Amino acid sequence: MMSGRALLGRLAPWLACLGLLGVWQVAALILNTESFPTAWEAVRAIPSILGDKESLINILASLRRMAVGFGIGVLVSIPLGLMMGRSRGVASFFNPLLMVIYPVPKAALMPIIMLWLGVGDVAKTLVIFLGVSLPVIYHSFQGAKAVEEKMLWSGAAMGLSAAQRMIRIVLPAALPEILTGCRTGLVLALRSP
Amino acid sequence: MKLVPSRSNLETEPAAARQPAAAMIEVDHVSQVFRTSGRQDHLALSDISLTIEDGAFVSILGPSGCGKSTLLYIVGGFVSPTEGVARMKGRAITGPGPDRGPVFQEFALFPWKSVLGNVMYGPRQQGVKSAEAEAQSRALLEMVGLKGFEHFYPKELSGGMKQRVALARTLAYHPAVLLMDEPFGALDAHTRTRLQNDLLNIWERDRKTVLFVTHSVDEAVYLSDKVVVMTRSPGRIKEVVDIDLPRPRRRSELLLDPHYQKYIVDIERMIDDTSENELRP
Repeated sequence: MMSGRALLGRLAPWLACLGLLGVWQVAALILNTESFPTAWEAVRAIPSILGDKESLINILASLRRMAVGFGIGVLVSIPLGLMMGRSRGVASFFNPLLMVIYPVPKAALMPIIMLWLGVGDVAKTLVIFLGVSLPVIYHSFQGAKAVEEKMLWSGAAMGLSAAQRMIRIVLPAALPEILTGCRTGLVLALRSP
Repeated sequence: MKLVPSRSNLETEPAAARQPAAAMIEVDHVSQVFRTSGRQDHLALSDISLTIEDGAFVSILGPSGCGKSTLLYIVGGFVSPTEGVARMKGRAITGPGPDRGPVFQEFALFPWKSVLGNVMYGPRQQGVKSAEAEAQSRALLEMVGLKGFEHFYPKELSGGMKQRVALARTLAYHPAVLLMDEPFGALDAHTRTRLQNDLLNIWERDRKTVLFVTHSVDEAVYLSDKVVVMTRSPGRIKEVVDIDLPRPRRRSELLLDPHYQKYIVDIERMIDDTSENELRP
């Protein structure tokens, strides 16, 4: 038997969704304009969108770009972030670059990238890649920096080389932080074009 | 220096009568300067020379900030001395190695590995087959009193249990020298006493060379053959005191032993002297 509190915890996200739809519905009814459909109308349109071949292809293409951009972003960013976290030299080389790029909204880069690469999948994937990379690099960097030195020393005493320490100690020790970065990156990937 | 009358007339084996072993560790005119941006460079260790014999239990005792841990890190090869050299069996120490096993106050266990996984890590790295490493590790865990906790994770253990795991993890790859950096410093008094007793029992079996850093006078006297008393910044060796108490040592007997008490009082006086010296301009 679930306690009342646990049950409420389970239901909370659904209640939030319903609440949002409710606010939407009320707002649309009050404003009553052509360009703001009610929540009910929007929900009713979902099956027809998903049933339409054209939009389905578009959605799948978006998802594919997202997956590719996210995948490449993570593969490049985690090693870079970890190396920055463990080497002051690498960190001071990349840090200024990242500090310049980080605050720039990736959508603002879109025009330049489109000039270079056109409007195809490559350009869109690149924007996703950039959006994903920065939080993953940043969190991997912080995670690697926070790894207890004594843990690495213990590994070194067991005979682990510098590369082995990176893969077998820094990576697992920083993993919770890296995953936080990946989650932020995933949100950005979904938000990007 | 002679602090207490010789006990060689007693039938129990005195420390001095044990085999005069070869030098395991030599610290040769080692100095360590930490360069700090902005402030003055900090001289942590000043011209330290020390010989640790094979099989000896040696404590480095001093106030916090006297560089005693730094000295241990230099022997471990984790820190390179600014001047001088540390040697192990006559060969200069250039980096960490499985012949010198550290146990840190912070435990430094691998949190993503189980207790058993932590202990097996060293032997596996040394190329020991999985089944064999597991059997050895289970035996070690039993020895440190953690039978039944093999599949726990470090975060599920108390501080004392974590330090037992850390000790087993280090013993598992058979270092010739144990480097213990205030290993019981973070534990409560009761746990600390129990771990001291257990460490002594374990040490009695194979008499590994131990370098043990502590700021507790009675811990140093209770455990050691030799206590190296250090002064505060710059860290220098003030005195090396041979602890000529019979082994195996029992805390309950030692507490009533005037020789033990005298060692503690004498060493505490030495430390007081060094503190007063600091206050002089």
